[in-house]
Order: sequence, then C-alpha cells, then structure tokens
Amino acid sequence: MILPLSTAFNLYWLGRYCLRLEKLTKVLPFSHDADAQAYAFGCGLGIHTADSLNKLFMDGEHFASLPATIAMIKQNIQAVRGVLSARSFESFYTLDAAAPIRAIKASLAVCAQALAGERALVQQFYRLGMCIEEMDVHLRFAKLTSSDTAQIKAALSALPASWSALALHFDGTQLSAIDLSAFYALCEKIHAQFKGAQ
Amino acid sequence: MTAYFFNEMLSLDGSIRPEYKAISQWIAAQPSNCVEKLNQDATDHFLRKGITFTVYSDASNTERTIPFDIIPRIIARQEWDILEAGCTQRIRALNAFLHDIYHEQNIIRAGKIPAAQVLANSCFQPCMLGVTLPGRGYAHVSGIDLVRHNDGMYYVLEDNLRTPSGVSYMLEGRAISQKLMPEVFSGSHVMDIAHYPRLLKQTLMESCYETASNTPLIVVLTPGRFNSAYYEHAFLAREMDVPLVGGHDLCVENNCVYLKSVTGKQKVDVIYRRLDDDFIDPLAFNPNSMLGVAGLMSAYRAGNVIIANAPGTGVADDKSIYPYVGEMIDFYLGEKPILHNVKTWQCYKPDDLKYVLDHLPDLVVKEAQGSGGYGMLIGPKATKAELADFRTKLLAHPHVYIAQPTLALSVCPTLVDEGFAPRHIDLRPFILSSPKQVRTVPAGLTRVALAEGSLVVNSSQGGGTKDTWVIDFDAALPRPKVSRKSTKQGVPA
Repeated sequence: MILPLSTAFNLYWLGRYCLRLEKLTKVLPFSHDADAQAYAFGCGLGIHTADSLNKLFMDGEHFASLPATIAMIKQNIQAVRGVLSARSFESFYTLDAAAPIRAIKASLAVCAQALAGERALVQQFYRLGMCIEEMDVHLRFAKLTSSDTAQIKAALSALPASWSALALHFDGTQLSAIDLSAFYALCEKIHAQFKGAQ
Repeated sequence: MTAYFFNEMLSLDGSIRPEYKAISQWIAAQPSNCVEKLNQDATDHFLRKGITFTVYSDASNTERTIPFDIIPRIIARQEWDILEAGCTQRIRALNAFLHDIYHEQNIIRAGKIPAAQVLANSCFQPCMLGVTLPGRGYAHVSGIDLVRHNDGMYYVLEDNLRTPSGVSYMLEGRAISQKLMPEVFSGSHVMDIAHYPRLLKQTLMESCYETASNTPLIVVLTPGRFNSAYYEHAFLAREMDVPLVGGHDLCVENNCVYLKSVTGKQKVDVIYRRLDDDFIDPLAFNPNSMLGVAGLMSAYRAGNVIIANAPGTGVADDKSIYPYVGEMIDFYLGEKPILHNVKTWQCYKPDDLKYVLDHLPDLVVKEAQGSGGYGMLIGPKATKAELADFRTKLLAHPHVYIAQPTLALSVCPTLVDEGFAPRHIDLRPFILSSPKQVRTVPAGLTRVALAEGSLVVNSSQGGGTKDTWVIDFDAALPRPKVSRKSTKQGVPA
C-alpha cells in the first residue's frame, strides 16, 4: 500500500479524536462538582460545577465538546475515504452526536471493530494518534506511566523506517522529567515528519 | 393527441417485453408497499454509506443522496451488443480526431470541420500540439449519453470525454439490486459489471509509457471532499487499490511527478485526474488554481507521466463538434456510424439560426460548452417570457448555442408517490480505451427524470438513477460477432 503523507496525517488525527471521544463517553455525565472541577482543570477549562461542565461538553459550539469531536471525526473520515473500507467509513459516518452517551460508546466499539480489518499502515497511523492522545491526557492529569512512553515507542517503531528514529525520542529520559514541553517537542517532530521534512 | 413514448417494458400491443417478464412477475407478486419499502431501504443504504451528490440548483448547495428506483432498466444482450459496438466505434473515432487535431489536422485540411470550430474552441489546448501519447490515447474513460426515441432506436445525445462521472452509482445501484432483490436478480441472467474497477486499472496501466516500471504507480487526483463527485473519486481509488491524492500530495522534480508518501517520494506514472483542465497546473493554465500540481504539464510534455484523460479532450465532447462525429467515423475509420446523432442545428450557421428562431417552442436549445443540464431551454415547456429571453440570447451570441428537436425519451416503470408510472430515462455506458483495447462493462448509468413529464434526468437537477440490467438469455451459446460496419439496430416489437 502506498499511503500519502496527508492521508496518514488525517488517520493520525482520526486516532486522536476517537480516543478523545472515547474518554468523553466514559466520564459524561458528571454528577459531582468536585470531579467535574478536577476534570475541567485537567482540560484547561475554568468550570466549577458538574452541571456547567455537562452543558459545555454537549455544546456543539465548543471545540472540546462531544458533538464537536464527532464533527471532527466526520471531517477526518472524508479526508481518508480513499483508504477506508466501506464498512469502516459507514461505522464512523453514522456516529450520531444526538444519541445517548451509551449508544455513542457502542458505536465507537463498532468503529474499532471495523478498523481492525483495515490494512496495517492505516491501523498504524491511527494507533499512533491514539497513543499520542493518551499520553497528552495522562500528562494533563498527572497520570503518566512508563506504559505511555512504551506504547508510543511501539507505535512509532511499527511505522516505516524513516519514522522509527522518532521512537527514540524519550529514550534515556526519566519518566519524572517528561513534561508537556517534552511531549510537545515530540508532537512537533511527528508533525514535521507528516509535512515531509527529513 | 397524446405523445407516444417508447415503453421499455411494454410493447405496442401492451404485452410485456421478454426481458421484463421476470421483474414484472416479481413486482406483481410483492405485497402492498413492499417495493416502496425497498426504495426506502435503497435510500437508507446511500445515506448510511454517505453516498451523496451536491445539488447546485439549491441556494445552499445541499448534499443529497441521488434518488434510486429499485425497478431496473433492462436491455437484452442482443441490443447491448449493438450499443457496445456503436460506443466503441465512436470512441475510436473521437480518439483519432483528438490525435489529428493536435498533430497533422488532416480533418481540417480536408474541409470536413471548419478550422475555427476546433482551433478557436475554448477547450482546445495549444500546449497539447505535438504531444505524442502511447497508442494515441486521449480519452481513456468516456461516457456516451444515449437516449431511445419513439422509433425504438437509440441515439447519441452527448459525448463526455473530460471527466465523466456516474460509474460509482452504476456499481452501487447494482450492489443494491443484488442485496434487495436477490431472487429475481439471480434468476434473470444479468451480466456482471463488478469487474469495472479492475478493467479501469488495467486500462490505465496499459496506457503508460513503455519506460514506466513494471508496476506503474497510478493515482486518482481529486479536487477534494467539496467536489460533487468526491465519493466516486474515493470509491474508484479504493476499488483499484491506488492512492487518492490532492494536488498538495504531488510535486514535480526534474520533470517527473512524485507522490509524497509515508515511505518517501514515489514516482507517479499515471494520473487519473478528476478535475478540469483549467485547474490541473497553475503554471500552464489557471494561475489561481490551488487544486493542481505546478509543473505537471511540463512533466507530461516530457513524456514522464500520463494524464487520463489527456488535457484538451474537451474539444471532442463539445456540442459544437458533436454534429461532426459521423464524419469522423467515416474519415478515420472508413465506416458508417452504428449509432447516430440526434439532429442538431448549429446556431452559428445563419440558416440553422433562422430555423431555430422560427421553431423555438419546439426545440431544446443548449450551450455548446455547457453541462449538467444547466442553461438550456426546453421549448415545449418554456413560458413566453423564457422563450423571449432565450431568443435575445440567441441573437446576441448565436455561436454559443446548438439546438435539437425535443426527443421523445423512452419511459421505464418507476415507483413514484402515485404508484408505478412511466418516467423518462437515458443511459450512459462507460467506455475504457487503452492502446491495446477498448472495453466496456455490460451496463451503464440509467438516469431517470422523476417528475412527471420531465425530460431532465441530470442528478444535479434532482434526477434519479436505476440499475441497468443487460440480460443474456443465451448465456450458454457463443457470442455472435458484431460487424463494425453499419449495423441496423434490432428492436424487438
């Protein structure tokens, strides 16, 4: 399979948005103000009550909301339509922002199942996006573990040869020394790779 | 007196044509509302799969599914053989014409076509002069629009040699028919068309330069997701297992085209482009285009990449050139046309203009370089004001227009709100041309005008589609050869 860089970039972001959506379906709706406030803090949102946070996350106008995330997913799948099977495309295309959270969660599971049948390169870039998003979330909530760096290393190592050098990015760095700056430095290198920089 | 339209299903005596017997029995056996439900299932299928088409007639440019009617249009194999031979002949002549006008221009020297019709045509691309293509192949993918008139004969309404679309809907319509009507489908000896993507890929591979690698890289170049036919671009790329690319995915270095891939730059051998000439290279054509590839024409003229269809093919499918296709078949092939044109008046000719103005309410007037059914006048259905307006346009710019008689397009039973009713249809077979062979699949896109009495079948203006079944009752018998000389269209009574 010959995969254009721009398509791979959209697969990467598809992975990021899908994980983002998955996490939202796990935490919504909030019922305790303390939990909501802690979560909002991790997301960089100045929200203090469960009710307000629930409303924000269902507000399609807000970039971090569940409907907005689904909208981004639907844009991504159009961009990668040339490599997705009809089954995968349909599973993402029919994600319904107006459906109950439980139904969206079930739909995401169907999407994951469909994606498991895609070609290796498609899955690899999608997986890279998911791993990057996972690490992003864990850093924000101070839950980073060695598993995060290991997963990113594995995801990058699975990619074609020109990408594997990125897998060494965190090698030799103590887990405690990995902060958002170090993480964003890796993201920038990945993005440069997508742009075709050597 | 009620106008007579050839009925695809019913003979003049009201009996059902043999090829429609199975489907008519199936319809009669269905419980009430079953067929309506199947149509709804088909619509749901299109919606779930995101198979949409942008309708530009709305103010908001709405994304819609193309309405699909489950009742197929059926053609007997013997009739199809003639259509196939006629379309093949036509494309051979048109490709020969394209080579000629960009080289010796013999047909112009012979006085068969006025020079101005070709050289002053806005689709004529001077940059194509002298470019020698493998097998002289220009229009690798063509769509020929056919209509059946009330004399039972098929006529060519239009040639489409630029970026003809609709083949994905032909294939999806077949998939829906097989899924929703498995019993009647499997029992009807319908000829297969699923191999179209493989034939397309084979055609493109055969069109490469001999210097290309043993596994030439083919890409489908799309203007992107906001193009009305984007679904089809993605569909074909996926089915052929080739990359779908935008202009930003390609670059030209040392007069070669490269795809920027995750494994580095890959040399491209064939670009199946689905954008108009004007947008493919900002250095050669529209400098404002952000959809194309800078330097592409340089690589093309250097013989380092094939563009399918070649730039400049628009001259051949221009409505002002259409009246000369019969001449081309004679001039280049020494044959008589198997399929005939609709009578056409070219308004740049004073006598033709006079006739058109004198008979405007009876004629269909079109822009010679228009498409999609836009900007045309259907005289019998036009108001006095519309007729007067068009008369003014004709007098001001006669060279822009051609006129044709109002054709009595054949009708096919279609499920509408009131039940089954006859609706006008046309047919677009798709023809694949490589240096080695001209190929088709036994079917086409059947478009149906859903509104009662309407003759406008274009999906861009609300038309629908049907599956097209070519039925081979004698599948076990060897195929008779069809002569390339003029063949009378056999029309079952």
